[in-house]
Amino acid sequence: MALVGALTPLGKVARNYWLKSVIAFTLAGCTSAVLVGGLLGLLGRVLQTTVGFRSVLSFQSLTAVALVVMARELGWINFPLPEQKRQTDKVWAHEFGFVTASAMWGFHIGSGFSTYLTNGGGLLLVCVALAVGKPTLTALLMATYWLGRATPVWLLATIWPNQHSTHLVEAIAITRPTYKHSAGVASLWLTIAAARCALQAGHIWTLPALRMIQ
Amino acid sequence: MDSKIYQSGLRRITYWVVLAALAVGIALLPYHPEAALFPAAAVFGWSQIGGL
Repeated sequence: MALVGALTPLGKVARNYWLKSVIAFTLAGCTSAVLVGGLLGLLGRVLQTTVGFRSVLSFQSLTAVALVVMARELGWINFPLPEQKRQTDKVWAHEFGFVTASAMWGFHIGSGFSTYLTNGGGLLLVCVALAVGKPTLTALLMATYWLGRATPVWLLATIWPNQHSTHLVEAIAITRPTYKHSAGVASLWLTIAAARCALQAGHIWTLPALRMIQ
Repeated sequence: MDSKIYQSGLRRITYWVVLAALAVGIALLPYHPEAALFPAAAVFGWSQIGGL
């Protein structure tokens, strides 16, 4: 769970060690998120320029995908996400020490799709990257996604420095519907923002299939 | 501290995260619609807290 269970208990026993580990975790994750985001944006640009991908996956299609993800996260429909059904490697802590392992965990998780996904937001951001086709923008978007993932590791150890980690992990599991609903609200917001982007770009509101024919 | 106190705290933090993200998004939307995508990305990331 974004390593909350692994990294936050360290905060109460060795504050400096925790700080180094969390900084390494965040920076390494940011690096891989920027790389993946940039590459996805580049792929979007290549697809748009070479095969007219924008006609197929334009902002209109993006709003449709975002609505489907919203419905999933709000519990109205249910389908499995294409995800790696695995966690990051805990044994790295024993092999490389906690600070290096934290950096490796960050780099691994920061790529966005190498471990379990609890909501479709990350995949929606891939669609954004392909629809927008702007490597800098999508690199920053993926970095923001990563910083959102890393925030609990910073925040929870700060506001509850003497937390009981088992109870905290249990509380996170029990409050899981709250996070799914938050992702649903974020998907709705992304729908609105994508629609506004489409209007600004001067895209007409027709079905993408019709636009291909035109 | 038992689990219920954490549950209440986590819910409250999440509501504030979502509200803050929406406020930033609404402020950005009329002028920089692409930048308004960022608050959604941050909330998606935060929401991964419930993952493994």
